[in-house]
Amino acid sequence: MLLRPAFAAHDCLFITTLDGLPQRAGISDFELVRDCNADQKVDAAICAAQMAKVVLQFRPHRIVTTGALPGFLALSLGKLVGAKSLWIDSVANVEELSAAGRLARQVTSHHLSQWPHVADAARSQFKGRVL
Amino acid sequence: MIFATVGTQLPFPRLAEYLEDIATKSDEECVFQSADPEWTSKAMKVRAFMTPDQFETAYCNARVVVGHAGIGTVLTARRLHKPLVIVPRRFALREHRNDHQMATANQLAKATDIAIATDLAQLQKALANPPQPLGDQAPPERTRLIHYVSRFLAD
Repeated sequence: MLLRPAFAAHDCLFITTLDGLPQRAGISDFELVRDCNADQKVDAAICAAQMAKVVLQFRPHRIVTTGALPGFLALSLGKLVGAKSLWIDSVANVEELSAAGRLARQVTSHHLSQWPHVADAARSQFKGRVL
Repeated sequence: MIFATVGTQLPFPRLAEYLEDIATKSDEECVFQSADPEWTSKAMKVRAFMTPDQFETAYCNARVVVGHAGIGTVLTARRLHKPLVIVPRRFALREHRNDHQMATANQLAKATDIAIATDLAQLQKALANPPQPLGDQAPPERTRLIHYVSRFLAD
């Protein structure tokens, strides 16, 4: 949400796992998907199906995500419809990239960490942070 | 009032000693969340851990907040518009499992509302002359990231 000014000029759909979050931010164009991590195979499959539906309907040109596994799924599915994607590893990852962030490194060339020392150690890039 | 917090994961005895020294020589009230049930003080009000409500109250009443280089500490100080002095944990002193807090603190101290202190003298100086809260202004590194994302979207 802190990066929202960057999206102001674009036709933009927000995808989140948290019902209530977009409403509180006054966002009406949003979709909810199931939260999941690598240990939750069923949730991950449901999330992937939901994400596929959203991506096929919305046909994004660009995808920006801060993770985690749902964001990685969005980015991978987006690739199938030709979307360019940007991974911004969460600012909470101060020691190393998240597991999803390491996976995303294989899928997109636009890959940022919000800490220079993490970026340097992980072939990622540092271009600023929300804090 | 000075509110000092070391987070919930590990005690931080070096910071506790700095604070004890400062509180002993000052009239200002000092509240210290220590993460250490063993720690006692004559000069400070010490709580090993606090509920979220107690935490919020302590932040709100503070003139300045002292913390380790934890993201939770930074987020709360920003949300409540409090000046923050960070004392990073050092790997060499076995205060953390690696030296990421030094790297984190050096980055965070680029913002004008956060000061970094690595010894007692620097902490005393920062408390006497604390940094200024940002108010509604975005921190410079956020503005930089927003510009990068804007260019990515327009490209």
